[in-house]
Amino acid sequence: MNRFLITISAFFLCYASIAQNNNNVFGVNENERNFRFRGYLKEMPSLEFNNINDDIHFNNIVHNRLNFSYEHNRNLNFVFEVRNRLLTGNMVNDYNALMIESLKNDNGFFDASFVPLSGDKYIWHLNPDRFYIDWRNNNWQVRLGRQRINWGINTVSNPNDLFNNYSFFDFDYEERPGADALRIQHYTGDMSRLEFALSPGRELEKSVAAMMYAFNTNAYDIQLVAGYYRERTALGAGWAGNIKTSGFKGEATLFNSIDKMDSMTIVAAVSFDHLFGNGIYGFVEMLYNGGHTANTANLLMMTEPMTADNIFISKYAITGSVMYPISPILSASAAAMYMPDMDAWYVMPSLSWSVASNFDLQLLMQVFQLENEASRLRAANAYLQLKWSF
Amino acid sequence: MKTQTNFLLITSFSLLILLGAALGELFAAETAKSIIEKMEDQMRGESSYFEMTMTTVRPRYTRDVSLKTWTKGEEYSMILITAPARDKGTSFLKRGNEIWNYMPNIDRMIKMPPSMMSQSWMGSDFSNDDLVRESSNINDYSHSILREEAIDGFECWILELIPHPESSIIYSKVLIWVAKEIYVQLRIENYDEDDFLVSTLNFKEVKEMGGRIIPTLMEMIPADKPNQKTTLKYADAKFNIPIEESFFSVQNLKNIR
Repeated sequence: MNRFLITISAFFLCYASIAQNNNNVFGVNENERNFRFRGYLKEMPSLEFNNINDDIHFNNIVHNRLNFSYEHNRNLNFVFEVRNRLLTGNMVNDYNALMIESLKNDNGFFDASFVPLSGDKYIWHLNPDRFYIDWRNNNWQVRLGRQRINWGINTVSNPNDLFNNYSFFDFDYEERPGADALRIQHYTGDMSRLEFALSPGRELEKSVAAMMYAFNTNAYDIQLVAGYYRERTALGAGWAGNIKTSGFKGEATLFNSIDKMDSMTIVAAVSFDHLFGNGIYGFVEMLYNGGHTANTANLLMMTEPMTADNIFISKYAITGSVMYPISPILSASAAAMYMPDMDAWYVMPSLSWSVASNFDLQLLMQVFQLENEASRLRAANAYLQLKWSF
Repeated sequence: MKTQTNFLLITSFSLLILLGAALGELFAAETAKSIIEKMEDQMRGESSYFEMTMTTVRPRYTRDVSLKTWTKGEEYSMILITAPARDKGTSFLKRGNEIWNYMPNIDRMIKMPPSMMSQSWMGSDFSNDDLVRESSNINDYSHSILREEAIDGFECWILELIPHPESSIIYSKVLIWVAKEIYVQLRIENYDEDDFLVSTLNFKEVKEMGGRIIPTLMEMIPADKPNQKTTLKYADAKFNIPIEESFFSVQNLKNIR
């Protein structure tokens, strides 16, 4: 917490000194200054059933996201965004201490995940997941602080995303976690850029530092990635193009331990997507997760993000998804995933209804089944989401 | 979310192209052929900026989407969603046949499959052929002045466009009403092969915007669903803005406001 507070203070001190000293440093026009505030309020009750607990669990999350940004001028921008959640229900009642401990845990360089108040039956979770200064000038853009650095291309699995992976199962975290980093982007052309990013770990060896060069040629986006990833080297490449009228995308990264030469890991994913004439949008994606080890697959932590060199709970996965707009305000979707090496499958149907301009209602189910010699898990969860965006 | 984004994208680009065609027809001359030729000339090499709100009207509800758009010729366009709150900040970039979408909340740039452009979307009142017609060569039609008629107090020519048999246009006939003195199109009717009306485009609220006399409200009404429509209202327009190709870049896609 201390490190976080110090950083936030430094952040505003830095701002204050810039604001006070000289408005002309960045060619500031007073009128260009712009404070923005937006976010949403989400109510999400859920019913969870699995073979570990005998009873059906009822859980509830009131989720309030607050996004603040201040555009000092065209070059300088400050952003602060926070996840503000109130958790109640059976999980909170039964696993109170464990949940508090888990929610307080922040994997970033800064410890910025807080539980300001909790009781036997409720937990208030406060997690600033974006706080950064963004400076840009001509073809340069520098961003410092907790931010999302998305180098991934695919929809489900992103082997090129060295900085902040997310869990496909954690559908409720639409912004996805941020990474504490320094990121420098240099736009070398209309469609090409060179990026460098450094994300320090709490232990120096667990840091990530990498460069990416991205460009467009022959209707293909191509990217090349190279860097240091937590005591390993990482070399990757990705593309987004098309075969006839279907999208064709993929990304792969090769990880090599620095001290052990024989421990090479490849993580690769390839996908196709298409919009059909009847409005159905679909994609198929295949994953090879070379870093998979049997004991890392903790099924109870499925919604926790994994690491780029061991990106998923299984070694292989194939995912298919379709989305169908029934009307301008109603759409249905379904995703299905099969993990052949685990004898496991996962299905997630959902129905989304735009109730009014800023009100969205979503009904969603998650069904997971795994049955092999090592373990057995059957789980079915149903969620209702009412969201007011502002 | 994804489908809603797709919907926004397709309708937005459809609208831009329709809009381009609408403006292109401003300076029509007295023969059908020259009207069409001037429309092509007008569309070529043009740049524009618009602020607009698209409203989908159904018997039980309406939904608004507000956009800012920048275009240069037919090759380049950029779209920024400014409302509703849920989609605000999402941007789109089109360069030639390639389209990218950027979602700022997850810093994600997505290259869209080409099928996104070549297909239409069922929820919108704009059909696939509305796109094809405007983007296809004008030589696909033969044109004639059918008759004259007044709309909203404007004396109009009614132009009849008949697609050549070898063209891929699904309409058998297109009628265009063009106001005489101001050369503004006020109505388009699309007919199917059995000569039944498929859809009507009405252009209203003709006034000066961006230094030109243009219709600032456009509505698309499907003939078989008279109680539903999609309207497009312009809040601001600028024409022939000094905008370079380099404006249509990844950097602007990510940072445009």
